[in-house]
Amino acid sequence: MKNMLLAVLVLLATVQTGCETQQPKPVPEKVPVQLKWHHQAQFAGFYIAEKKGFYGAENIHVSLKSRTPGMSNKQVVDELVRGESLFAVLGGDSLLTERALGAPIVSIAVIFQRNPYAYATLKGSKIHRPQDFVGKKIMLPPDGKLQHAALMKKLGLSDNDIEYLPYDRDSDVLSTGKIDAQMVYRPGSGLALEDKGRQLSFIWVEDYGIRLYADTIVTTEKTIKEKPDLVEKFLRASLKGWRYAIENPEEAVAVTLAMDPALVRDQQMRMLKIQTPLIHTGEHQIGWMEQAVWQDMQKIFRISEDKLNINSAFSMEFLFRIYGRQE
Amino acid sequence: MKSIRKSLSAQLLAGFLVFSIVPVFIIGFMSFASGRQSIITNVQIHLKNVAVLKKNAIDEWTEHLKHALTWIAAEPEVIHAAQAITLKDPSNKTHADAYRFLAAEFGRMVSLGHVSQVSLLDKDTGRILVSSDPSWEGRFREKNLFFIYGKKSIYLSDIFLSLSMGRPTMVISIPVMDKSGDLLGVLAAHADFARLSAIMMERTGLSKTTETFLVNKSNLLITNTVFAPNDAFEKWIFGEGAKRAIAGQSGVDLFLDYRDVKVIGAYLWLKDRKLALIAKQDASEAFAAVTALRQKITFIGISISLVALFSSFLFAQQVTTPLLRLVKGAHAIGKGDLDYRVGSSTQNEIGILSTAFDEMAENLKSTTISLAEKEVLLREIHHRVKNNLQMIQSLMNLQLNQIIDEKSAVPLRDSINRISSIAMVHETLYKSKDLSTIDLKSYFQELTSYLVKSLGPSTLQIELQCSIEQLPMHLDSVVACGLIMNELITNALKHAFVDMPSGKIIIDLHGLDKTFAMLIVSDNGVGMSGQDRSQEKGSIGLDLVNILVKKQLEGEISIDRKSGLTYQIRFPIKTV
Repeated sequence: MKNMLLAVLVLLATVQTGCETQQPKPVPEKVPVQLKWHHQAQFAGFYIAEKKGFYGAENIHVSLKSRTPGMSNKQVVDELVRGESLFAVLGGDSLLTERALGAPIVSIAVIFQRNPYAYATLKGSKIHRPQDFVGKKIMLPPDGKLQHAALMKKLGLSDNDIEYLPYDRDSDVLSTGKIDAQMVYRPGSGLALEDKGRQLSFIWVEDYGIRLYADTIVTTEKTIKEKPDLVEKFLRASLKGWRYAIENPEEAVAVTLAMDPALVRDQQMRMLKIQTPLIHTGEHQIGWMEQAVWQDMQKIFRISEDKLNINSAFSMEFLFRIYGRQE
Repeated sequence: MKSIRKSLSAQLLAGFLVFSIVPVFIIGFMSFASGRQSIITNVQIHLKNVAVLKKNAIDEWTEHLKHALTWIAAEPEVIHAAQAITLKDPSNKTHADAYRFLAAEFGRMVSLGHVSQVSLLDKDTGRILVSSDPSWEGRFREKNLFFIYGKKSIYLSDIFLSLSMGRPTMVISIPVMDKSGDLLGVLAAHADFARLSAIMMERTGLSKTTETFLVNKSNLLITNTVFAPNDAFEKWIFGEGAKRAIAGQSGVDLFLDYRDVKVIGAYLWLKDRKLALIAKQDASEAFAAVTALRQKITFIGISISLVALFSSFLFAQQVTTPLLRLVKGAHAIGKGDLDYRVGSSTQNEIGILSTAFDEMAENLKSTTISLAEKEVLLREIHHRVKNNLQMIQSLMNLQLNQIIDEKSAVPLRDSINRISSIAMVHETLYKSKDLSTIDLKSYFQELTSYLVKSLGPSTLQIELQCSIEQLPMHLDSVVACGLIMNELITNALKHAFVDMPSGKIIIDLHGLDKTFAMLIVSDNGVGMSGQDRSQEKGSIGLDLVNILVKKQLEGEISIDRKSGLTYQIRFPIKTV
């Protein structure tokens, strides 16, 4: 009995000593991240991950850089390659284009699993589907032209049947009747039109089988090779942040507003609500990617297979690490 | 007195309490544990049944949907119309008729409930040819699994969030084939997903905190539920039950749910639907009956304990009160009140003890009385012995008066003194309180004073210094010591202070240790240089002293002649 007591005491002492000699936590690694746009609810999941300490829990110190106006995709990619940013939120089309030009960048997850582009028409308009564009005047943003062309081709419509007007981001051409339909980035320019008081209907491009990834999380082949654990940590915390943001929209908007006091609460809340079904589809985990969609994109953006091996442009490795291999 | 009462009562009380309350608590705990287990088991069985019932309801609903769709796809008019619409030119009248027929048919289906959207898809492109909602026509579904699989056989999709509908949905699809089995198109119906939530929210027979809900494999809440009434597709569920079900397990257990609340829950993995079904109830509610049981058992336990406490107290009182009377009696008798009686009202052992105690007191009383009588008698005997000795003294004094020759008178006078020293012992004894021991100090002081008074020359000033220790000496030794002192003091008074105006005699009796005593008789007289006192004729003298020391006291004598004369007699104390 006495011996047993002694053994327990010795054990306790060992445990105690073990605790005392525990290694101190290493200094958190600095992780600069370049966002796709200026601070807004589009990146709420990242803000949540930072403010709720999800990054801290992974022992990384993430700084989220808003994108300055005029900064090109090329500049974003260059910063990544130079290591000035470790990660960037970048459009899937930009990733493929830059990758085809030789940039060693890879998508490790997507934020929008669904195509966020839609055609906006005024409510009550007779235009219900793209087939109704024949004989109508429409306006396309520069980043929407290729997918529009792909859709027209799929529907067997000729560009000659439709009148295209040059893109004018700011003027309210839809309500003045100057155009009949306008392609919008639904949570961006689509929301901006609604903010001007327009009652709109939206024709989702994806409803016609044009799938693409708009917001993706990108890093370099070098980072993946040299710091795979860091990539996993950053991605895990970010995805957790997104899940939390969708579950707690009020809080997500509050942390977004803290990033930029000029933001309007109601607008950010609507942005988050519009995004939610794009980010989480109910079919897949947040961040999940499908090879088929990437292949579709290669075709939409007309990048030849000689210039780009699509399988090298995205990596499922970290999603597998975080979620396990799904069916 | 009080401490006895306290300790005995407390011990009895503690003992009885231990023997009565400990079993109460053990039995109470055991019955609580078994009661708790049976309550938990009941709740578990109930929840398991609820889960199975919900699963059956879901299966029934999907079967109903499949059945409805199969029936439509097999309808000859539908097949005919599908043939027309897929093969014929849109401008053809037959095509237009077929379109109208199908649109009407699909609309009718939606109006019946259960499905919110029915479409016919082109077998090659997945394009929506006809739909209950015309705005959907022209959209493409070629990449959807329900189209890909629906071309082959009836298919039920997973639940997903529809971008077009802006809400979760589930699609049932089925191939539409002509008589020869060639594919004409795919019939796809969006199930009215609200029905599923309604099934899970159906609460007949469920308690306040019981909820049932579905979670998909990415932990997403699929149906609204009691504690998340508007959170279908907006909340991820990471409760233990959902985790286990998603891992393919089914069971029932106690675990923490997604709110971090302890629940009893049944979890079921619906393999065909790839959904986790959870039926659970808050442990606090489920255990309300357990809590009530615990309270009841605690109440009963405390009641029994109080009764045990009270009866133990009474019993302890019953035992200690007569005992205390006995103690009080013992104290009273100890203080000499031999008339005190305890008395007894009971027939038990304590009653018997009390009776015996009283008998003992009675006996003690009679013994004490006879002892007192004997003491009086003894005192009287001492008195008479002393009187008789004094009479002998008087007779000898009469005789002494008739002797003219001084020299002849000396032995007679010595004898008178010797008798006197013995008589004094008896006198001291009968005057003393205790007849068995003699007050040595008063006896020796009286004796020496008497000797100095009767023998000392009137011209001589004698200083007496007595130091007597009260030793437990036998009466025989006292008499011997008295006679020895009589001889030595007489000797000193006669011979030591010749031609001296004053002298000093020291008497000292003290114990050497517990077994020996020392008697010292000394004077500061002329000593033995002039004449040997012991050789004086006509005197028994020191012979008597020697005999008394050796025979009577069994001691030894030493004589110091340095200044005056000192006799030291060492003898064993013969106790009374």
